[in-house]
Amino acid sequence: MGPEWINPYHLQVASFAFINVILGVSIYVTLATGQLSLGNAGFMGIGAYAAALLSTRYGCPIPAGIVLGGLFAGIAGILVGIPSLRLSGVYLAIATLGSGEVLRAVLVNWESLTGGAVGIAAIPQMGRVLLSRAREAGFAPESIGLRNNQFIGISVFLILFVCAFLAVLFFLRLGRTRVGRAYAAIKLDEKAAEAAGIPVTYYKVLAFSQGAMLAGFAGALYAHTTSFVSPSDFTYHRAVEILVFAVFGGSEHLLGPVFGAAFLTMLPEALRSVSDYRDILYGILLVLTMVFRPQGVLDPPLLRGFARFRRKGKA
Amino acid sequence: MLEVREVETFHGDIQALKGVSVSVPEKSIVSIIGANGAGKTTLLRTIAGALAPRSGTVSFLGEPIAGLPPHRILRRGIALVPEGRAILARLTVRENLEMGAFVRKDPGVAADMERLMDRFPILRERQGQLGGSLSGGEQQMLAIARALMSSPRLLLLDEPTLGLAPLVVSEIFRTIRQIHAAGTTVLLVEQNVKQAMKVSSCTYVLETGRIVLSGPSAELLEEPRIKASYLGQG
Repeated sequence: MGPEWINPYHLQVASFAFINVILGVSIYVTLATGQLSLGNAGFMGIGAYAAALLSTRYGCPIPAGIVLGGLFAGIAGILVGIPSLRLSGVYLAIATLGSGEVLRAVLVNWESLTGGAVGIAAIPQMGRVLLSRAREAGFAPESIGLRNNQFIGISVFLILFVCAFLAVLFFLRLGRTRVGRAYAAIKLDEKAAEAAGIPVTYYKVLAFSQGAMLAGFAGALYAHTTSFVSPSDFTYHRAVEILVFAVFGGSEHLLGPVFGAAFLTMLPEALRSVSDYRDILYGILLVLTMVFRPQGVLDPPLLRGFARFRRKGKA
Repeated sequence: MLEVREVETFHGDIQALKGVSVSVPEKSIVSIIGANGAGKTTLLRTIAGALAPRSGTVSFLGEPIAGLPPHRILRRGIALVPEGRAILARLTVRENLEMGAFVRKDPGVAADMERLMDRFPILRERQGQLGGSLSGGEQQMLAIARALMSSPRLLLLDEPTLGLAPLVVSEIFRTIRQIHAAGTTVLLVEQNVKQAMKVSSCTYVLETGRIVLSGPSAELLEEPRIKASYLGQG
């Protein structure tokens, strides 16, 4: 039953791609002010654990838990950001990487709250919850020819697509506002930005906490997609993975990390037929990027080129 | 208009200003001269709020401003043109000028932009170009114009002629005269001692964090110590 081309597994991969796109945006926002933060894996963990605990312990509705997860991470971002942003460059990267690890250590050791290294299981999965709500309301997926797991896969896919799309849209537009201009000026030259009357520290902390909030939001979505979180989901491997989205996709434009996140999440699936060599090919791809596109695959000149090409096509 | 009293500023443990007092009357040009490392840039950055003095007072129009953050001080009417043509290289000339009006919320910004482009025709010509593609002199003009976009009452210029060709240097000094004639008070830090003293009414000589000499520029030009150390005469 159900159309065979709708494969729940592929939908799940695409869903993770959308979560990673949000993480890609989260690292871009801090990079937009010239700050490299590697703490986003930790902030993702805060969002994930907040959402997981709110729903499993306090019966909080999933959407509210996801929003609160993002907010908690944003507040943590302000607290970590204010002292860390006295640093810059590699020092900031190390400090934020460290704060992420501290968070992970807290998750492992605060067993009474977090379940320690085992993590939290049986978190309500948003697709399943939606399915049971739909059934209660008298709607059966079979009536439109879908199996249960197809319905779950599609609804998670659509929810995450909308979330990722809104995040990308919001920050694309932010780039054209007063705040976006301030970020660009700080990235180009802090002293010049200061001389132009931009409160540099305020905007740096703002960007840092926006990035943290987005990462937390992605984490909360992650918790309600996988229905299981543990500290090992938020190690420095995750931090590096997020960094690679920006390094590979490009960090000069928001669409760079977005592309990097989507592409690198799908890539392992495309390489399934040669799965024994998957990691080798992944590594070669990254090295080739560094050699031929050190600024990342997408950069503003390339995007302008696309825009010109499209205009020509229309004319 | 601006009164700096016994200001001491530190970079970490190093004391860069050791009790500096400077007074800038309204509608004047005052110049501060001195060798590298004398503390000239530190003094300007302290006035602009980029550095906080450890002791001493800075007052502007009768109100204390020491320790305020830079954007607050800019809003009160003091704009700094930092050393080394600090323009935003990857924004266009027009965007650079718009950034200068970041603290303003009044509707006069567009009109001021037109006025500035009249005064600096080269900036109108290049308004769509990236700031980094301008020549050194044009970049300095852009940095000055950007500072003027905040419509300051006091303009702080940190070595505006550094590394520029002699012809361009004269152009910058002409611009400073024009800005002054238009009613803006100017505090100028320069190593181009002779021209700075000629354009200013009053000069302070800064040496290793202390004011060692000050007075009307015309008198100091005749002062033997100045002639020997800074003008290469006698």
